[in-house]
Amino acid sequence: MLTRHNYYEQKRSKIKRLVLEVLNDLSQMTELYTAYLNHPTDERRGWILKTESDVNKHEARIEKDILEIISLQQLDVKELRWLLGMNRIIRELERIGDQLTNIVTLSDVADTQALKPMIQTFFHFESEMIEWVKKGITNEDKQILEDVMEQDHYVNQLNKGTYNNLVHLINEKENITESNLKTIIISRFLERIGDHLVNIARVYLEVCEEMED
Amino acid sequence: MELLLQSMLGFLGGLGIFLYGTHLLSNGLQKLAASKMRAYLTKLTNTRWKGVFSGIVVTFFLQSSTVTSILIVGLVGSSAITLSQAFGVVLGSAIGTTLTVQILAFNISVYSSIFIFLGAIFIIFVKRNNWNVVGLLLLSVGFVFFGIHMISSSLEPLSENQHFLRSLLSISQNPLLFAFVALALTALFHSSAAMIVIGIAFVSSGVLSIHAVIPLVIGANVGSTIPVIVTSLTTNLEGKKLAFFNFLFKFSGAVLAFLLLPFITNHIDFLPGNAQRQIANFHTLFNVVIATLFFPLLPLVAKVFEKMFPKQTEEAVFTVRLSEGLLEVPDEALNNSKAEISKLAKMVYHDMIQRLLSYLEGNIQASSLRQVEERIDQSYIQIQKYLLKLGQRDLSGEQSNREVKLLNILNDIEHIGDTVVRFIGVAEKVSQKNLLFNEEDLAALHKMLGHIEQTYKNSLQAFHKNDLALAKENIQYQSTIDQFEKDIKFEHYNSLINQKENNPDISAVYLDIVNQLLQINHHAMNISRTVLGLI
Repeated sequence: MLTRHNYYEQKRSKIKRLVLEVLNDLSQMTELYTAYLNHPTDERRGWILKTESDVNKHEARIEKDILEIISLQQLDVKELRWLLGMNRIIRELERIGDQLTNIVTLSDVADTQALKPMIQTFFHFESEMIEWVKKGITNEDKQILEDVMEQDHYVNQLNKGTYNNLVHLINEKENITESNLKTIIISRFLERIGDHLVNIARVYLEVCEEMED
Repeated sequence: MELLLQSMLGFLGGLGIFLYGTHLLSNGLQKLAASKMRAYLTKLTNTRWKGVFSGIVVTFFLQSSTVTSILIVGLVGSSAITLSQAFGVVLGSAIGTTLTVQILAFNISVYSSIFIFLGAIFIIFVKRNNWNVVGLLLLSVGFVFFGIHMISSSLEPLSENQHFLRSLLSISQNPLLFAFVALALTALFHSSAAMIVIGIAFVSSGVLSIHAVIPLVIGANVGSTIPVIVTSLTTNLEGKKLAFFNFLFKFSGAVLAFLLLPFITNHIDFLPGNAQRQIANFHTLFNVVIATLFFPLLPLVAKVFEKMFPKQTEEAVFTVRLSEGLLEVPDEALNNSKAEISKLAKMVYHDMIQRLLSYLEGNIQASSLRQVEERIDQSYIQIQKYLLKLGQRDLSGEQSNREVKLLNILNDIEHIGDTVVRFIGVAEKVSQKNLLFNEEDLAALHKMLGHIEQTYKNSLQAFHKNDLALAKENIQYQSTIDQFEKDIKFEHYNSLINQKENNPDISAVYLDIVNQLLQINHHAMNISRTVLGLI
């Protein structure tokens, strides 16, 4: 019995593997940032920025692979949708990397203590969401992808809470510090990360449903 | 009589298990390491010394001098190593096989059941592929030692059978006859190790003395070259040279050993170890001595062989040359099949594709193209048959993938031949119906032939060199061809309208010609797709 290695299938598996690797990188970025908040050093900051650069490299590789496949093989609509879906997902992932970098760039060593509680709470939910996205993509598990979308509700509430706190400070005419302003901006970045994860889950859910039809 | 029958049955069973064990072991090792060993031989055989060393290592690891010689034939054929270096490998290979007998002379047959048990467990219960191969190797080692054990124990009762002893002694008292019998049996078993193991069993069971077994060892050494010679008769010139060199080398050693037989008989007891070990040591010493004597003569012998087997002039007509013997080493069989398909593909390029323009211009006859197509068909059948036979072997995933690619490419080449014949059929209508194409249409056909030549040439190069980048580039060129097809048809309609031409035959024949040419291009493009792995 003969067996064969199909180039398209190999590329398809590679794209999926790279997407999962990017999700791992992002997960690692959140861990590195938590470590940075506990012990802020330039070295830790450097690691986070290095991981983000890896995410960008992966994005470029996946895009190149997708383009190559489209130029080499006439694909059916489902496969084409899968590839375009992966292309959208990798863009969302790249934006998450950007958001995390923005947060690192914005937060000085002096701010870490003030920012720590809020960021850790956001990360608690978002790390879980990243893990679910990974599982959902690996196992094509629609339920877990829907859970990701559900979880974003808590992330949005956290952002709203940060905003309400600031409004409260303004109403009470208390001193608004630069750190308070940074908190609201970072909260917005963190909330956007949740949105990107939701977008990824939605896209992959659509891809799964498309493949089932 | 019953005892004799029982012993003979036990002996045959043991020999069968031993031979099957060595066959399994060699096949398993080959699957695991043949391609690596080929690469190793290419890199580390740049001097005769290294050649001898490589021969020892490769033969020991692959447990087969036949497989080593098949690998060397491929390397000499592709000019990766010189004939003199290849002869060096043959000398090393002869020494390498003696190491196997050295291991077999260890009295570890009692542990054979452990090897068989572990091998069976790994094969049946462990699902991972790598462990399965390990299991197969353990099982085969177990079979080899179990076979030796059966041979020895079946001969033991015969040491008391006077009739058997008398017959065997009468043969062994005539050393030449005894050596000849050993030679014939070795050639039959395809294994000198099996014959020498029998000799060791004769001695250990007390049937024969160590001195009586010496001619058997010599005969077994010459006998091992006979199957190689037989196989070489259907291989290429390099295969013949190596097979005959192997015979010459062993036969000269045997003549020398017979001349010195009284001396050897008197001094064999000086070799270290017990009687069994002394036989193994004599086997090793015999090969080391003749290798040492031949080593300085290799360049000279190589020159003599070059004269004895002059290079054949290139055949005017392409003929498929694939040896059935190579099927034993799937990697080499695949390499050779690829080489033959490459040659066929080149013939299609030179004798068919490049001549399409000449045919359109009326400079060559359709019959010459049809003759080429017949040769393609014949070659296609031969190569496909060979590849299908190879596919029935136990191929690794990588080998299987290569085989699928070769079958696909061969099929596309054959289809090109068929399409050219259809193209001729359509083109003949031009003269039959007295049709006249306008200059623009003819120019477009010329341009299209240029595209086809380029696509096919690129595909051929990508296939030959396994150049994936070129294959991709070629496939991506398909969109240009697609657009060209649309343009050529559009321009054709326009030119008909401009010339107020309304003969439907012109359009039908012209567009049919275009379609056939596109079909040729499609098959040429398929070759690149297959090279890349779009299969």
